[in-house]
Amino acid sequence: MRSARRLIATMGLVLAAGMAHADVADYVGKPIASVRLVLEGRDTTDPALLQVVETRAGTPLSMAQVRESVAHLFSLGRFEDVRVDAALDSGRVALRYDLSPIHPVIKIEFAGDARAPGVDQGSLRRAVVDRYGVSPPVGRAEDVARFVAEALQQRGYLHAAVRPRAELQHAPDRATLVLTLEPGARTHIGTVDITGTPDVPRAELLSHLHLQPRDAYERDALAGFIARYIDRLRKRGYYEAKITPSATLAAGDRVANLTLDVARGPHMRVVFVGDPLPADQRTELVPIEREGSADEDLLEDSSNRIEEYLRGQGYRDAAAPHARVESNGELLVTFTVKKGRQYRVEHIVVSGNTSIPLAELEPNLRLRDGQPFSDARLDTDLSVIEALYHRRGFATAKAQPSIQPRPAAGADLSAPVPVLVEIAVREGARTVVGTVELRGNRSVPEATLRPAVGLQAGQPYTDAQLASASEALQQQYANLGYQNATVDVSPGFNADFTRADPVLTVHEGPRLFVDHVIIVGNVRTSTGTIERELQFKPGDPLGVGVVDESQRRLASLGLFRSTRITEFRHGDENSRDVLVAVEEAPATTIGYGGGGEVRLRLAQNGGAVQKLEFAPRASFQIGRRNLFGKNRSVNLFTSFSLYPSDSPVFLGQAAASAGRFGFSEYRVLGTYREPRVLNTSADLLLTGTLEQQIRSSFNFARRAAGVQVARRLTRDISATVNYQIQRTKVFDQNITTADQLLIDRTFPQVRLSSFSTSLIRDTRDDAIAPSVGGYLSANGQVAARAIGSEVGFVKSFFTAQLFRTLPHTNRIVFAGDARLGLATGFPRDLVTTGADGQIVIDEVRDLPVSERFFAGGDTTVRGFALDALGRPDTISPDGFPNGGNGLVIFNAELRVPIWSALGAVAFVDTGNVFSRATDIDLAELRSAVGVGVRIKSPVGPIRIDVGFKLHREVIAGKLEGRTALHISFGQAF
Amino acid sequence: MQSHGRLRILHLAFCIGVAIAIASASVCAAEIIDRVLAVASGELIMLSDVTAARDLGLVPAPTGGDPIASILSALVDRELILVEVDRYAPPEPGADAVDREVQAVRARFATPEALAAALSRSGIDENHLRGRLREDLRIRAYEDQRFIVSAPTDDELGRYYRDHPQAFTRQGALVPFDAARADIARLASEDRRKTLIADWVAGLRRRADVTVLYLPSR
Repeated sequence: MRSARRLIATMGLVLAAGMAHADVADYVGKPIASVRLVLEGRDTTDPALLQVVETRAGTPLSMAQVRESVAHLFSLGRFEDVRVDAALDSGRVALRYDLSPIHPVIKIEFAGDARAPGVDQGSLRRAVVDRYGVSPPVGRAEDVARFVAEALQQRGYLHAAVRPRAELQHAPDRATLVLTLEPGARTHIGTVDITGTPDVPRAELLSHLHLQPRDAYERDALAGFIARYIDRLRKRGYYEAKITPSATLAAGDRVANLTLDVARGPHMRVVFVGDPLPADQRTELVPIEREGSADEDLLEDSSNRIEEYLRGQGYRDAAAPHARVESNGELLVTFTVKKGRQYRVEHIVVSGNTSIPLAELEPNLRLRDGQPFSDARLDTDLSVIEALYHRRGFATAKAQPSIQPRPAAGADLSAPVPVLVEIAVREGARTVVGTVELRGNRSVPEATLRPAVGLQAGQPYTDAQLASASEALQQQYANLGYQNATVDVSPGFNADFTRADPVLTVHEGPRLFVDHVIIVGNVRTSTGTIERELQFKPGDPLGVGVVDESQRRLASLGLFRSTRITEFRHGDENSRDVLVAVEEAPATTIGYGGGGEVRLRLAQNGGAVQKLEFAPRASFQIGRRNLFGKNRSVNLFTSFSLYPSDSPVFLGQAAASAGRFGFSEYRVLGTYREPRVLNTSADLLLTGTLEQQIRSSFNFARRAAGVQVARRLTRDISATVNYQIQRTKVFDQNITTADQLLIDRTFPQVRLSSFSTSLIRDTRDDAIAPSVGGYLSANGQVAARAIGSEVGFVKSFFTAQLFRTLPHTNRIVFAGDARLGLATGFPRDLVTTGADGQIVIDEVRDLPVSERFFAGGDTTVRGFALDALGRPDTISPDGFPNGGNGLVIFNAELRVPIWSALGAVAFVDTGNVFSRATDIDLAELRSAVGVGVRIKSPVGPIRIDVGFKLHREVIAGKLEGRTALHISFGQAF
Repeated sequence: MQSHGRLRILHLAFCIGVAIAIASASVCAAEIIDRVLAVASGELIMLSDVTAARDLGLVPAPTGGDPIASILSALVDRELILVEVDRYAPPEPGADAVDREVQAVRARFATPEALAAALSRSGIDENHLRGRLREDLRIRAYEDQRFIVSAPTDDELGRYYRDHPQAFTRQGALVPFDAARADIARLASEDRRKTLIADWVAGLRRRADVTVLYLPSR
């Protein structure tokens, strides 16, 4: 028996030893036997989780690594709780990370006594949603419960308790928040005592306040009824009415005995006598009703407000004293308004302003000749003048006013008094910057910081510049990772303020470095693609600028719906982990659209005649982005137009029945884009095109393939190099054989192989509807037989565009555009057989028609039909354009927003096509003016333009039409 | 008799077996060594932070029955205050001031090894400690800048003296008002400042997003 007792004691000791918790120190430094990640009771080997855990089996346990791992796991945003368990196993530590995934609350339910009187589940739920949102975190369940308990207390359940419980569901993870209500006993109203001076009998007052003995005691509701009753009293003129409730609890807080202290106050009437005051200003100037008070301070303020108001209107001597008279239980407040005479500015004279001319001061002044004089406006003007001087380095400049009312003798007393306002400027000494000293910059050399400071010796000194220098320094430090750096400044004036020797003292604080970079949320996109856009890596200083730039670059990839870069602390205070969280956009995009085009086109009718034509259009696009997770993309774009079967575009083909549409224009464009090809900063674009297009004098079908390498040199400047090979078939030509250029006659199908290069500077704020900025481009193209082309030529095209919002206008934009095209063919001997059967050898420099320049139409000179502009030598006797080797276009346009999505434009276009580049003559440009309408739509602006030729000419024996109508999408340029 | 002895041996063996099983099971029982206790304005506060604050004396000694809850509350307040401090960037404390704070922490430990052990238990190093103390100095500088209390009026001094007689009682006797005037002014100002800071922190708590995962029962 004794031994049994010993055994029990031994067991107890062993058990007690076992139950005693080991200290963390017992685990630290011991080798880690295993690391398990347990997600809701099940082990997980998710690589995204394993890669952020710092503790590794076989290494000694470090609490720093445990902390870091917990921080990493938590920062993934997937877990609402992370716990780390440790257990000793043969002297080694078995680690277990217990992960509780976030279960968003999708439903809030009430249990317990949720049907108690006065408990409205709907209003409780709405209150919770208003306070915590539709999906409160489970971690805030206790807060939600407290909030609901407070709401129940307002309903009379003074000792209400609410117990929260989360019912978790998995796959997908979500939760129902169950709030068990234990309202307890409800407090009811016992006695109601009324003290003070009620204006109505007790029963009526209780009725107004919805108060009855034995009703539930609801404090908020009572306060609401009291407020409404007081409001009614104020409307009746009892501006100082007040009811103060107090409650004494009894019978174990089940009964609340109320006392209502009622102070109705005197009936008040506000009267304005004397000069009239606008009715709509009275309650604003004398806010007795709003404030619920008529104490002397408020009345005094009201008098002052009335006087200030009138002085602002030029009544400089305005007075509005008030008087309180109480009789027969009524308080009469009388404001006696005396405007006095109005003062008007006769003239303003500014003197002493030798350094800043009056023309520069005047636009900033609020007082103007002929306007009512106001002391407040004068004070503002003085401050403006002084501020202007301070900005120019006159730190002690003062502007002193002198006001001279000049009433005309014998003038009508109701006439305004002219006032001569003189402002004498005492400029004082101009302070110039002497030396600028930087102190405290232990880690960053002065030469690096100087450019940011901006203050230069010899320049005028201003406080604003010094403040700006301080901010710039602070920003520079922040960009270097010193996010807590501060800069103290001292202007260092000399005795007579003619010189300032500013001192900027930097308190650098600690420098922050990137510890780990954790990238989450990328499923299809490779981590490398994201890392390539990040401007920081582990070990780098954590600057504000690099984080912003990285965020911008990630967003501009176009791969993500959202990107978020956040930093968080753990362990070492000078290092931060950076979490890059992305949400990927869908990989496949599909787009389609339809519409129509209305164009004035040249048609064959015994010669060239202009014909307005409508063509339905449709397009379809499909794309896949982020191929292989490398941000590569492929796209296929197709579009086609239908033209009436009797359209001139079908010339030469069998005419179909009128009124039907025939397939005439199409374009199929396939592209493959690879950003940063071969790890360079250039982007690769491969294109393949199949198209058939119609022009005024011919139609063509083209097959082309191209390679483009584009590189952004700066934020605004980019360069591209292109190689293109294409075969173009020209058909349905409306040009007589005599006029048809030799190349086209010889090569109805021509193969072109060319290199081209472009340099573009684009500073427009918006590519579709710019309001500011410019666009410059230069393009050069060379096609040569040496690289496989059947025809050789050199061609260049220059564009310059300018966009400006006109000052002082309602977003009216001026848009200007200049285009110059120059081309020449390489000489080539062409062997043909003449009419007499003789072999003829011609040297030709022609370009294929498809490569020549044309003008006229909705994007060039809008007074002309498509391609219809030209000189006699570029237009056939039938009136059809041959195109040319020289092109000049100028456009100027005012874009005026009218209302909502509607806008209007007025334009002047001028330009022409010349047979050879050397023929270009600005005197031969032809001009058109016109107006148009713009309607903003989701696919860009819908454009309707009507152009008028300034001078009509006889082309092909006919006088040109005056106008041309164009309906299309997008801006003209 | 023999069978009775055999029975005793079997009984003994069974009890020893059970004891060993229980002991081995309890030795293997896992223990939470770290966890997230709260998230205040996006910053994690872990159990190891609470341990560090307690062991290194970085927060006032906890009051009440649950020291973890008490320290955690102080750490949550600290995080919320730090967010405000970062917004207004008070003067950066000098290295010597931080050194003094580090020395004060060192002085709380009998040996450097004891300090090292405490740091190791919490998973922080001296660098971390130094940074934390630097932040505490920044908080103090911010509070000194923001919460300037004007000198109490005579009325306020009188009221404070009347309301807190125990603070001015020496050896059982109340010190006369005039003799205690300097102490009254100091204590009244300190109390006023504490109240202002407490109200401010309460306001921060109301506005901030704080999730407390620690519940004493969990």
